[in-house]
Amino acid sequence: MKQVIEQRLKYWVVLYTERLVRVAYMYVKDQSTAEDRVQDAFIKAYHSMEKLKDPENPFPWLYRIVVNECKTYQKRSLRETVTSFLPEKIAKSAENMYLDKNNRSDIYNIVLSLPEKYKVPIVLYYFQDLQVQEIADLIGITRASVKIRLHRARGRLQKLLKEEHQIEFRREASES
Amino acid sequence: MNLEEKLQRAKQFEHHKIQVDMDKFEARLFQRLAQEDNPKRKSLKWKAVSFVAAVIVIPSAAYAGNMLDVHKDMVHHMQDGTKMPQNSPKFSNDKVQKAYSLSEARAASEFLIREPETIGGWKHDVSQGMILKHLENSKTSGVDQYMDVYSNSKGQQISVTQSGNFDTGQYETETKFDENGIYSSLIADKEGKMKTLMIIIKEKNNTITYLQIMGDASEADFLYIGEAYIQAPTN
Repeated sequence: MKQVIEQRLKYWVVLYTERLVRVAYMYVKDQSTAEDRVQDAFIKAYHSMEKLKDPENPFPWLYRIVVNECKTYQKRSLRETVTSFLPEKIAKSAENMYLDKNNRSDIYNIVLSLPEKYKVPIVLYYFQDLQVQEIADLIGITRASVKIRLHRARGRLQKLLKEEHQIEFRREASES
Repeated sequence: MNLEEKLQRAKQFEHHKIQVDMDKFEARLFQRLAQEDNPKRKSLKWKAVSFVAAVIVIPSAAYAGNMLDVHKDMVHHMQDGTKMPQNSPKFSNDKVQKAYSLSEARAASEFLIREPETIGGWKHDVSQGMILKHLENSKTSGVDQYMDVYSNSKGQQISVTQSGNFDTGQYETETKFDENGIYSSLIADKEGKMKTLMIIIKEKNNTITYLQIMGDASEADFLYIGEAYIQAPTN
């Protein structure tokens, strides 16, 4: 029995790891940390495989475990308290800001800054290629609610992008 | 470019950016599962102890100082006495008065020196016992600390420093050892990149061994390496 469970886990690791790391990244915004959370999720899944209701389609179940792991991780506020002794790590240097700007897509950062109810559908729809119904099943809301959230999220994104452009425009104008 | 096009472009960029080293990921996962399955292994209760460092004053007079010069300007002192690297550790021999091989260090040392045979996924770059120049009461024999430095294929580096202390009295009351005589704490900076894992072991001969692991690896790597050292032979 143990061998069967391990084989199944290996299959899931190959099939879902990258997608799940991208889901985790949406919450923790750091790849190493995202990989750690997915590792923890796989270990939880391994120990509670009997709870899986639909073995043919384990992704929604794994997705929920990953999201729970990420939320638990974020709640560890003590870590924030500990690290608040390092002000120079909080304030980004000009060099880091330059690297951020040049290495990351601005729009993805803006997506990640949205409230969770908008960020999650946008990431799943545009970045993970899931259908509306799949998103509804994953996050436990109706298909109509997903559509509404996507619509509102697009509106917020448009607004934030516009603001971003205005700031950029003003900065360039003041520099010239 | 409209919003849909921008999102599509961002997707391509992000998919390219987030890529997982699957071999390493899978190896690490199954290694963790194997460790859980082995009932003889010591339970570190990692989850419970990883975030308690802020509320426990680390009793560490002998602990302070050693790493600072070797890591030169790369270490922050935290309020609780723990040190946090700003960058990946770089080993320097500048402050080393006398260097030892592992067997020499073990013969000369008053504390137990743990050395895992290998650590999967990590290359062993430095393995050296030392007497440091800067200590006020410079020794002419014995060992101040034993240092290992490892690197991996991602360019991450970690250092592991071992040192000892023989005044165990204060630890009995101030350090919350688990049932195996081990205290550990893992602290990360705000970005979760640079980390310090400190392990204090109450040895059977009633001495104290410190292990300090520093660098920019993932939390799971730190716990894996910490566990490897705790389980490693001392002779």
